Amino acid sequence: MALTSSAVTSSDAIYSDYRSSPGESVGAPVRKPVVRSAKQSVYSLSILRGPSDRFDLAELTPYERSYSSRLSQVTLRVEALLSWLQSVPVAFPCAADVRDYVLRHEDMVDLVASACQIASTRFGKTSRLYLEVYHDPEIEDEYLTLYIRQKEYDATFLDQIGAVRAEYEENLAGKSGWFLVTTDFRPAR
Amino acid sequence: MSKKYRNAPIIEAVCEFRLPSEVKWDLTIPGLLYERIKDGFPSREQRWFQEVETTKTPQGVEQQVRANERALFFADDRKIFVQIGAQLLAVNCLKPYPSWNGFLPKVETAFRALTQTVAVGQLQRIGLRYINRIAVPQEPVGLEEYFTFRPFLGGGLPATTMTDFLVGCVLPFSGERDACKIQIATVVPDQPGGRAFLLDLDYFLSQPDSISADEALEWVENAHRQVENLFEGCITERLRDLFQEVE
Repeated sequence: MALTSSAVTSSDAIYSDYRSSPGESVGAPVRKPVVRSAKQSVYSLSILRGPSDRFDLAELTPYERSYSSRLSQVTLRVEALLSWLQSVPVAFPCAADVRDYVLRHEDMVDLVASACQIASTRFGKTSRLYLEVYHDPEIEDEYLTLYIRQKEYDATFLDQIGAVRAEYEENLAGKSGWFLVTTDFRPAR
Repeated sequence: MSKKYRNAPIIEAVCEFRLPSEVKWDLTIPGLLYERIKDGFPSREQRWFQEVETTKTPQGVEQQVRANERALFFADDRKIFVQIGAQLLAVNCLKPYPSWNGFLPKVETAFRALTQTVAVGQLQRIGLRYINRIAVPQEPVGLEEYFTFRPFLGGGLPATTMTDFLVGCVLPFSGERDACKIQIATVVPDQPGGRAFLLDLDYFLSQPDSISADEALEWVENAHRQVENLFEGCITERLRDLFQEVE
């Protein structure tokens, strides 16, 4: 059997993972080597169901496919989160820091994804979003911070940030890490 | 003889054992298993996992979402941990990978504790997965300089540099009793402007119940040999030079 290949964009695959509308159906199962594009074989999955499906696209037997979302690995979940955030778009001045933090606080993956989605929905058209790890210079503390930056800031801006926080904050209870949506009033670039 | 690298790209290795649904499972099993491995994995946590089971039916593709609770037992450095859930045992190893000689004993310890705790006959599935994150210098050279396993665009497609891709295949082994899913994809680089790729090798038992508990660790050793060969087969000398082989 000839081996074919396909190139897709991350955003195609990742948005397919996260959107709530029904996904496209998969083709007939095959046992021989085969490569499929993301759009052909990604199921529509919610955030909670596992963004690592972005890296789990090769078509398999029904038996193996039944395990495709029963995940034991953790790093793919983190990589998928970063890829998806990049497509939102959220910028990472230092992705290595964010990757390391989320890997150490893997229970934050869903919260970070949903909070960034909320922030993007509210601010996306008028702002730039930057995800960083904030290191407190005075005490040994660090947490994820999503900075919202705009070209100009109006009087309602902080209230809007407060509204975003209100949508995710109660989900922080019991998590091993912390997440903050805020601004430093720098101009968006 | 396997190669060892100073800058090994492995970010996670996972060895997973799944038992048939007929194996009796109850809530005491994680605790009993913990008693047997707590010297090496003293820290305990519980986490909920969402699992999606996709099946094809005459009506179309159906998905079932289930929430399962797993116990996680961590080594002191939290880089190696054991996950145990219903009919599942997995041993994860995060970067820095301590070599196969460092990882295998952890797998053996956990699996033997499982077989001492539960009557395991045949294994429904075994998987050995290596996830590599590979960063390459930002320079105007093609993928072929680093990877022999990569997307191929025929002459009818634009000869532009791909910004994103995801490619995979499944190769059969041991007369189709086993298979290995190989995938390569672009991932977010550590620094803006960089280039990074995920090379994922997932070797698994593709015929359920074809390996007994007595044969499982031997299967794992063989799987590791295959994965090593496949990994070396996916990369070029130029990439090996970046990893810096050590004697």
